[in-house]
Amino acid sequence: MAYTVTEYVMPKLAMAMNEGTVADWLVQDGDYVEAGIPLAAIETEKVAYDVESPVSGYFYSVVPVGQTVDCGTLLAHFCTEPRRPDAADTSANNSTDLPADTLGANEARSKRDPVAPSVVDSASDTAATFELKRLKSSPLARKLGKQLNIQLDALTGSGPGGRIVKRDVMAASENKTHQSAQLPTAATEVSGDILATLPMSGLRKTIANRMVQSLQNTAQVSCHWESDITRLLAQRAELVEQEELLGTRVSVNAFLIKALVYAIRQVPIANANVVNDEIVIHRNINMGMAISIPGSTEYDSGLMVGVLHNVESMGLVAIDKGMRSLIARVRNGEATSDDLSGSTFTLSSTAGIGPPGLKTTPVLNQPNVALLGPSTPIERPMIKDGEVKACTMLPLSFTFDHRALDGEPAARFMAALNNALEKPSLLLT
Amino acid sequence: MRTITLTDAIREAIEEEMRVDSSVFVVGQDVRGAIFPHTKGLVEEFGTDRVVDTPIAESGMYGVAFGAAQEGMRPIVDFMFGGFSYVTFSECSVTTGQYHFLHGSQHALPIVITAGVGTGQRLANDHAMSIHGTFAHHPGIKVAMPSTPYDAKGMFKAAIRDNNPVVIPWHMGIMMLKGEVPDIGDDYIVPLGVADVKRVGSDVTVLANSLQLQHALSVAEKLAPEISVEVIDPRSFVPFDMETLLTSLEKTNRLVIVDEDWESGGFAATVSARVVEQGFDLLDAPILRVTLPNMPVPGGYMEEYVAPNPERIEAAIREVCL
Repeated sequence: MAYTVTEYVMPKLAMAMNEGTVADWLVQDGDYVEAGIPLAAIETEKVAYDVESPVSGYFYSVVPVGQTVDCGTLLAHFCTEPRRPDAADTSANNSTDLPADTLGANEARSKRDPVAPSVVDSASDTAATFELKRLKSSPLARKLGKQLNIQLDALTGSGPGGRIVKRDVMAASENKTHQSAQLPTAATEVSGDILATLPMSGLRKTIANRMVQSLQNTAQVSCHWESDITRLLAQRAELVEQEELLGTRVSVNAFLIKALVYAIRQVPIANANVVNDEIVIHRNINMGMAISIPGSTEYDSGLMVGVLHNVESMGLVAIDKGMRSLIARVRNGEATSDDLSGSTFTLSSTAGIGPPGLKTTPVLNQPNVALLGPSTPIERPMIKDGEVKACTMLPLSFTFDHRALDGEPAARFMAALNNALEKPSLLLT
Repeated sequence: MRTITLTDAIREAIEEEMRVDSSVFVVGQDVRGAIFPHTKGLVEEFGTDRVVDTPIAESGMYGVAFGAAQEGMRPIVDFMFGGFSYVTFSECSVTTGQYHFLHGSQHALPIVITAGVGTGQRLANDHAMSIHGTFAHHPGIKVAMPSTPYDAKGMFKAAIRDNNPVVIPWHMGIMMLKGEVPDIGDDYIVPLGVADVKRVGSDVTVLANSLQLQHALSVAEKLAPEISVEVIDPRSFVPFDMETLLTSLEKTNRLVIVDEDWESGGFAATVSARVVEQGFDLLDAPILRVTLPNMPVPGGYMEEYVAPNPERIEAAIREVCL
């Protein structure tokens, strides 16, 4: 086999990452490094990442520890033979650039964008961002995609070797036209002053793409019900009284997460991800939590999914504390890559913001197959044991991916969750 | 309109131009005896001064033409078989093509170079090869090849009237191809540098010339129920009509280039590169070439195993239309 050199460049690990520092090389020059093993510690202004080796080969560093370089700058070489490459090797055509930009570096974006390895994409492992994936598409398909505003990465190519060709883009475009035909036409000219114009770029664009992809690529079913949380609130009140002792004011959300853990134990398929045509059911429960974050102006806001890992082994207090610090880290732009990846279930609450009793149809956070969207409780008269009682009802919206699970397990899951919320002593089990 | 053969059409063009312009003459080997019918009868009408036979000595033969052109004559040099033009290749490509440039654009060199070329006669090697790609490589020479009797008469007239050196071989595989040509006396030319859409289609463009054009048209007819094939005849290789090709690709987005020349460094490769440079975004599939493999053209029945043919053209069309 000929001597070939693969170039490894400073990866772009976050939306706003423009440069990074090699905090440490975790392998030695000349080592044979297998793909996927920890390669380096990379620090940005706000986050430290351990990155994995994207390929296998003999490793030779170019940038020394401690040096800060722009994204895309050559950091190291991976060689097929244990020999440091010289200029002739690296200028040859056989070197392959690894993608420096996993988030679309070409987009101009403001410094104010929060830092995150993946936005909303909480479940994708950062290692996956190194995947040497090339979208095969014809030049014409790419041009049409731009003209018709069709995202090619959402399409399946029907050409030779899976190449996306003109007919694939045209079919997607026809679908789109069909859908938008039912919508009112957007006004192109509006008289009067404009309050603010927000660029559909950076975080906003990532959210937009992921929401549209989620709606286009899954079979989402949303269900609604109300759980009587009168007793749960009474128990919580007892814990709130012990706030000083516990070190936190235990929130309803912590109870909700405990109830979800209970329901997932009953119906494990609700705690799953669809990855590469496989439904992967997880033993540990990593709770993705939709967190709103400040936007670039006073008029908008963004959304990221923070992940609280292994909630199945945590008590109410640990969950509550973990949740609070996670939210703070995400909002302050201090989230680690772990904080933003690996979710197995999503919780997206509008409680305290939405009107009492609000029901929604939340959009799935891919690749999670299920999402719970509680909102603000509402007081209702309920009949209990033949008598009318004042009850606090928690409105719940639940979306599941019908590709992965059917109505029967989904209904059992909702029943188990309802049971746990209405009889909070079950949370002790 | 009459129906005549390709070689008769060439002969008419030469005759008519010789009648109206006394500076036009033919020089070659056995042009008086007319080994090929396109010079038949010329010596009877125009005499031995204007239909000049030479020994089998291409350099001397071409030297006669070159010197005459320098002095204001308009020679038609006939190499009989295109492969033998290479005997005097330095003169007829390098020196000829550069002449106008090297003389400060002050002196024209109106030479027409013609010869029979191509497969189909099972003659092998020098007797069966194509020359258009090699001449097209050299600057300063126009290169064209007719595919129909109509084009042959019009293009030969255009070549004889052109003040630049023009290489205009004709393909032996279609020498007896018949087609409609205007009556004698109805003067017309087919301008050099203009391609012709020989069949309109919408799924794939096939660029083909001479014998291969006939093959491409027969394949297009056969595939009509399933694939709509547009067939373009480049007619001229230099200058090449990119506009007609790109216009076609805007519609079809797929291109097969059939070129009866070797694969390496040929006209097909040049067109392919230009399309990628100028029309990348028009392509929905890779460009495919159907050419001769890089080996000498064998004689006898073996010729059919290397020459482009309808089967190979059909296979390429199907591949780009996957």
